[in-house]
Amino acid sequence: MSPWDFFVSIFVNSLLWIYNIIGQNFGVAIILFTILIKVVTWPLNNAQLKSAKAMQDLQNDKDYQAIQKKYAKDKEKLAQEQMRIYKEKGINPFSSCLPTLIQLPVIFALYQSVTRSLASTPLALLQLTRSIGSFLDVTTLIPLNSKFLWMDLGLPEGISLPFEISFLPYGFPTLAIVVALTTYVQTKLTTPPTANPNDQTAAMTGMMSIYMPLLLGWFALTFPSGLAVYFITSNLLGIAQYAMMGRANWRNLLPGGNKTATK
Amino acid sequence: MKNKRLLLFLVLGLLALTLSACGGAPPTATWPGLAADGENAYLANGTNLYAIRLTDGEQVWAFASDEKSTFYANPAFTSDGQLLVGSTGNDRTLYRIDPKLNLDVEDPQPTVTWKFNGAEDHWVATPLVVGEIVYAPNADGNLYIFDLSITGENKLVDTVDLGSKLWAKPATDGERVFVGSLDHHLHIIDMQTLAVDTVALGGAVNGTPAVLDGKLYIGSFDSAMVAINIEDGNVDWTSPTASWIWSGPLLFNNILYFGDLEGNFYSLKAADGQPALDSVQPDGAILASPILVDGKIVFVTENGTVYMLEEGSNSPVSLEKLEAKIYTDPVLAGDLILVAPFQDETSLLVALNKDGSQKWSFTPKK
Repeated sequence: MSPWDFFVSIFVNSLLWIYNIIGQNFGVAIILFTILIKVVTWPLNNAQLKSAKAMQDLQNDKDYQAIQKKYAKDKEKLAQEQMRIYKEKGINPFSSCLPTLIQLPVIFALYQSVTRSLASTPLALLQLTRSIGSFLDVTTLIPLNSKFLWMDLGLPEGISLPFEISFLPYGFPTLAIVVALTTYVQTKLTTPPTANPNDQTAAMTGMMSIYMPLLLGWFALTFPSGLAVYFITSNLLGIAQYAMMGRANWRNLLPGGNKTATK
Repeated sequence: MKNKRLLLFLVLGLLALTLSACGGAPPTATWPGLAADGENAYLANGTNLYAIRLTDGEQVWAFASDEKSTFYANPAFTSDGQLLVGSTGNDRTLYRIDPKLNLDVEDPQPTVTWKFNGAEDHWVATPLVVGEIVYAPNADGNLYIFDLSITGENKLVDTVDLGSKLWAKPATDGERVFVGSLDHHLHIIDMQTLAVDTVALGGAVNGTPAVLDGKLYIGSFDSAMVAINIEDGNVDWTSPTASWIWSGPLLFNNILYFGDLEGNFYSLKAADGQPALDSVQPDGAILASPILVDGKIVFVTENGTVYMLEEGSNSPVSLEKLEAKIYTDPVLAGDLILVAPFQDETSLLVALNKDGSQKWSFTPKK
């Protein structure tokens, strides 16, 4: 077993342990497991949010803007001056990336643990049985109950329509739309207002608020709906976390809200 | 700014690629399916269904559907020699394919003579064909029954809801159809009335039962081989094994031959479930069903070894060791033993003579 497989198997075992103790409901198990992961990674998220906020504030800082203009044509000097300001203000420019980097394997492992647990082919089932610890009775666990609400968590979600749409073989993709919407809301809420019209970070965040919902919506459309349940839970918890920290920027949800906030 | 936008696109694209490549999308690949008639072997391997000439191992054709189907189940043959094969892809299509048409053109292609798209999940099991009637289990829990003598596209005559994923090929005694489900049950379906009797077993059933003289023999993930009286559904005997039984047993001269996931190969008396011989331990887990070759039992292990066992002996002889895993049931085709290695970089199918020497191996044409 490779180190990565071992890492994922920890997630698989945890997920199945939750599934077992709550009465074998895989949808609820995914939700609880996502909450557990969010709680464990809470400090990392907090650190990331604080760093991102500090970097965003810096974009609006007059000294910072002044050196941007002054050394626009001297990249080396600009970099030196930026580092000086980071040092003065106690900001580590990489500290907002680091928590994200650390969380990436967790997100990937969570994603894989959901799909591996659902084992939709004989090979997947064989691999699953070999990665389950002896503390779980794998004989009684299999097959996993993949039904949750109206969904089969092992298949892409869709509500049947009275007519066929060729590119929507599973029907109307409710969950994919909810995933896209919650991702959009989360991204918008976490975008701080900016006073700087040339703020490149804000422009990038603006683009992210369009691309990320589309990307995750596409995943939810084509991948097992268990993954969509994870995305939605994760998004809602993310929104809740921002709100609890008092950082949710609700005005951004309104048309022109970001501009209003800049005045 | 333009560069940053490009970078963002690239990063998101990479993320999408990474997640997709991580293998979570359904369906994940599994081992190939295999069948053979008098002329060709048919290998269901991913997006292609291959026809391979038995005489020399040459590719006759490779079929790939426009609907991005993926094929892994063992194909079945209809009474007129056509192939039935289901897709494990999101298209969920069951195909009937005439293997012998249009072969004189430059790029020979078989003809899809019928297809069914009404199932809600993947086709993992091989259908059972009885005359013109097809019993096709689907992972959506339904046993779909088709009458191929009906002209027109709609050949579905009935659907029996058995409640849980069906991955096993059914068996029949001519009056009833027997099919196991992953929810630890064996279903006995009357072919006339479609009335269903269900026998609870201790674990998931992935193998095809062996049927003889009013009794049915089936192993399960409960690590036991069970004999069931067909008439009343009562368990006649239970014989525990060291590990899960993944596939159906071979019944020959009143002895049941089968393996388990821990790598034990058993010979049990069908009459009472007692060992006919001590179990043997080859070199790895056994997931495929054994086959009978000239009165000898041939079985394969996960570690890639093809064994032959004389009747009455518990000293299996290694016929061939492949540098790949073997999960697919071997197939006897005339004088050849066909073995489909899993994820072998050099060949998708190996044909062995009965003495174990290799006759040919098949690599798809580019």
